[in-house]
Amino acid sequence: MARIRERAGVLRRSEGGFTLIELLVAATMGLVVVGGAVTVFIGAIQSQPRTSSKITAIQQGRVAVERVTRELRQGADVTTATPSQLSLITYVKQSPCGGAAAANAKACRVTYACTTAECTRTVQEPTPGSAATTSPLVTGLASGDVFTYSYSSGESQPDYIGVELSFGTQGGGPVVIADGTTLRNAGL
Amino acid sequence: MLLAALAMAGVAVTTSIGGQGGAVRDQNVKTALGVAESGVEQGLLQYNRYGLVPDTAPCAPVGGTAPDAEGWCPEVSGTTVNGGAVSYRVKPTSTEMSGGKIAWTEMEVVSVGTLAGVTRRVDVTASSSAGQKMFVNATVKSKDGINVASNAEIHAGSATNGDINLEGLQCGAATVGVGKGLNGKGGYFSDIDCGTAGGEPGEDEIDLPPVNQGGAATENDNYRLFSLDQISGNKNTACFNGLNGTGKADKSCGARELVIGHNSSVTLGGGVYSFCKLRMDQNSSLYIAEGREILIYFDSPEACNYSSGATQLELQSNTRITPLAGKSGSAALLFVGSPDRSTNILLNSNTSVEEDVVCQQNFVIYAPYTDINLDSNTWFCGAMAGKTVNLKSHAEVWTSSGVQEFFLPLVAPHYEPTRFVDCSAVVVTGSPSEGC
Repeated sequence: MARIRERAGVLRRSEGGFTLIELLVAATMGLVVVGGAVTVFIGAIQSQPRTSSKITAIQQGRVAVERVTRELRQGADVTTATPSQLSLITYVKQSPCGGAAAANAKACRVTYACTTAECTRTVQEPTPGSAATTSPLVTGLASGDVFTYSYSSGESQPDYIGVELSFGTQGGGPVVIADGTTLRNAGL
Repeated sequence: MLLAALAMAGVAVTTSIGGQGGAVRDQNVKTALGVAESGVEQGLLQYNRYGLVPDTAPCAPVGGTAPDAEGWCPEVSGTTVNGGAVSYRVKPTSTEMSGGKIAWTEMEVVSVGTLAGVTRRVDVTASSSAGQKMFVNATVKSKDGINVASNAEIHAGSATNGDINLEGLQCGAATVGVGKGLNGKGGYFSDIDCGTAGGEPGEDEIDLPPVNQGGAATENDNYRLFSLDQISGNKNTACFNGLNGTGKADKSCGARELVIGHNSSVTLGGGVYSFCKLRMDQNSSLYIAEGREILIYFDSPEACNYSSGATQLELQSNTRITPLAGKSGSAALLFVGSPDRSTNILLNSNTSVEEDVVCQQNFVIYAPYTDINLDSNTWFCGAMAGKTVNLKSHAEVWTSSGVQEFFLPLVAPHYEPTRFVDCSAVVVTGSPSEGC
């Protein structure tokens, strides 16, 4: 008889379920986790265009700044130096200047002109009045003030030129890519 | 849903890592460029500290034996800078001087820097003032500008990186700096006889490299004063290195300062002199001994303990620098100057730097950091280059073809970069400078 009672007790313990309290707590925790995941997902979906826009701006800016600073590094004889416009002589792998690509670089006059919409790049022979080829350099700018200049005491030519591209992005602050370089050539 | 959120998070992390990778690559590009430029500096350093490069072994400073058929010395590699590998090649170029001497006046250095798989290559040309002809196209040159007052005249080609402010005459082709002009009411003619109207001057940049005096400050013929290079006239009024012509202490001149008192003259018969200052009082003369070609270096104001604005050459009225009467001889006055302390040359009224009225000699004043001032009635015959050149009324500058052959002296060269090209990263074929 005692063995029968003991066996019945074992059976009751193995068939025990969750209490109502346990079920309510578990359900609440599940809702919180799922709600968090949904919030993250919605946030990610909503911010994706903004993120994509910034990534595009960063990539575009990085390429443009690298291209500009490379030409400035080899540049000299700056004749126009304003925040939105820069004209100098630098080495370009084209022959003639503004024409077909060439294996070796030659001295050409390059002019950058920037507005709040875009920057253009014009290439021509160094002699004034020569034929020019203009092409867009970068678009989507938030400001046309791109160039800054540093001068040594008493010098009319800048020895350092800063480049700062500020891009407007969707639903966020501007993306700013900045760099600069000293001009390695005294005159070309 | 949870999986979707995790996927979005993964995309965000991947994008972030990509952005970080781009930033790292940008940093590596800059470092690789710096590494490549350090190779250029190494090459220049090897040549600048070597001294005179032998005619037959232009690669000696970089440990090479002979250049290849295109003139490139063997590659120098095996060093690292900031963790990047650097290698470079040098191509010296020579100029043949008078007497068959060779001057290695220019060198091209192509250097490659590699860091973390990023390679950058630069091509730099550097030149030395040693052995260069400085007055081929123009015999009046100025870095910052030429000012010609009314009734003053230049009968020579002129060139400046600044403006020419002309109230007198400019007879001879002139060039001004890019974007600069020829201003004033004076007359501009394209020939030295003032016969043909000049029209608009050309625009061009000129290069006036600094004077490299080598070891002239210590290895010179100053000892000749006044034992071998003797004084005519009053010996008490001539002074050099704190001693007058009789050997007595004299405070009118300091270290390497030569003063020639009024009505006295000194004849120079050495080859190289090094002065801080030369002052010639009224009616004094400095003669060049027969057949001598004399170089007079004027040391920097820093080396001479001069403050800004010092006058290092002062010729008072009725003074002369000239060969002995009827004899040949020439002199070049080379001013080291300083970019930080201004210095002056003053040729006072009625002074003359000439041989005779036909102006057939090679007198040269080369002073790229010094302002040259010619007062009224000063006559200069030869070639001059200064920071600025200023002619007051009735001052005249004449020239002859002889000065066009003047070379800056062949001392141990000091190369300074004159051309920088950021090349494509890798040489495709052929010469090291291919693609630059």
